[in-house]
Amino acid sequence: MLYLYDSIMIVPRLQEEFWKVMGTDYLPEAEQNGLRLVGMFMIGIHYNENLALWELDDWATLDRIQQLHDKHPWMKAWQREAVDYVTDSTGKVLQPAPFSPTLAKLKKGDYKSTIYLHTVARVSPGQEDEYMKAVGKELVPMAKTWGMKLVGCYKAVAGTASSGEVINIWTAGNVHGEWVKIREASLNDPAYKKWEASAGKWRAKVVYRFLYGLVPYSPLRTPFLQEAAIEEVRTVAMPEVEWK
Amino acid sequence: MLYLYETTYPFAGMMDEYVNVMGTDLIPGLARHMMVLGVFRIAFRLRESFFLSELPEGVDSLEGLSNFVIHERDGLTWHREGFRYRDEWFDSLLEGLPFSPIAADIKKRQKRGDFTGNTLYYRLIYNVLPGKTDEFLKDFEKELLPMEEKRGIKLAGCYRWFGACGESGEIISLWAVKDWAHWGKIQETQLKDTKYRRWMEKVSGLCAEWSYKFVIPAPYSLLH
Repeated sequence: MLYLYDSIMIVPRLQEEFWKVMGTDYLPEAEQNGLRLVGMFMIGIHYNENLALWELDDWATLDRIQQLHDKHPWMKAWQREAVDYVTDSTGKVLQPAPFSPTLAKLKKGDYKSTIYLHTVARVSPGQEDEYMKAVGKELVPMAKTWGMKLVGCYKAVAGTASSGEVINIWTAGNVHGEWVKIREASLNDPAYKKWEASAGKWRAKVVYRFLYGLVPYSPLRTPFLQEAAIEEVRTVAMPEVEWK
Repeated sequence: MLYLYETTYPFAGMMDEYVNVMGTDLIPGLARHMMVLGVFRIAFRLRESFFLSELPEGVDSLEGLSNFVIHERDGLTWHREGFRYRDEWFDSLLEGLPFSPIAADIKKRQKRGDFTGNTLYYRLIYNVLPGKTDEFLKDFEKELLPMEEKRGIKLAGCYRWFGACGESGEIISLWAVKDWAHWGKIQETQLKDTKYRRWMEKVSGLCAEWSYKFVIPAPYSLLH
């Protein structure tokens, strides 16, 4: 299993509209071609940045997606449309840790959250697997007691990235008051202090962001939003025609 | 051998057109002054591309480049035309390392099937620790290069900073990969290879970090 991590810079003011057109004009075709949306998030708090996280089966799917992006007329039409909303985007290919939940598991379980915590650790080169193993063994059970569930643990393996990037995403509460409690619990946990001291041998620091799950069709989203039916957008009424 | 390495940021939605007009309106004129090795888009990136040219006359080729954009008609036209497509770019002057293939080598090897039919190139930039560059380059040539070429990815170039924009300790390598599925297989074999794991341990002690981008060559590139 692989993940495509797309960091998208949005034209300020047009974020909600972009979410809507992405849901109607990009998502259905992307999913038909092997990209499964895990989450579409607003970065907290960076006003014009979004993150789209997609699951795909294997490297051959990525070749198919690349072909689609480069050559398919539908994708070219989407790219022209997206110019109104997107000023830049950068992609990474991520490989999950063995214990990282798949999209199927995320959909079955209780992973809905308004706030997700996104962490990037720059691990010493070559020690990514060892670090991820320790996250699974030590940090995941510890974080569960504070009220956080692991949504994904990945290392960057292609696309645009630096050495030793390990990305974790966690549920982090439905309102900011819940995050306050999670944070307090972690800071008062002696096991976490021990973890932080021992994790220093793999990485110097962790960069934090909030992700807000506010997109109705995103599998990872706030529980306060029901799944929206994807609207079919047609500006002109078109008769159904069977082409021979 | 010296190289000109230019990173460009075309406007959102202009990438295809920009790469096409570079092929028709820029490259023929540039080719009078330098050997354009490749024009590339960054994979899954909306607005970044770069091109790499060999400077056959060394720094004197840069005088040719200046003449091109200041005095020659197609260069002057391109200089104005380019502003329609991009708002930012920067250039580095790079020195090819002794084991880096030059354009003539690449052309010869293309007859044997290397550097052709690739949909991807892997640009890996090492930031070598101060004082470790010679050791790193020796190990790169003697250990990494034969190991990776045998595995199936081919070194298209390896360079260090010579002038203009750059960083100390920066070593830029460019490798030909067939496609994403091929890269998936390469990674699997690297993980199982004890020699490769030894290289990773060694290089971790020689470099502060490294970063990579996967880039897609334009069809008209020498590296394609």
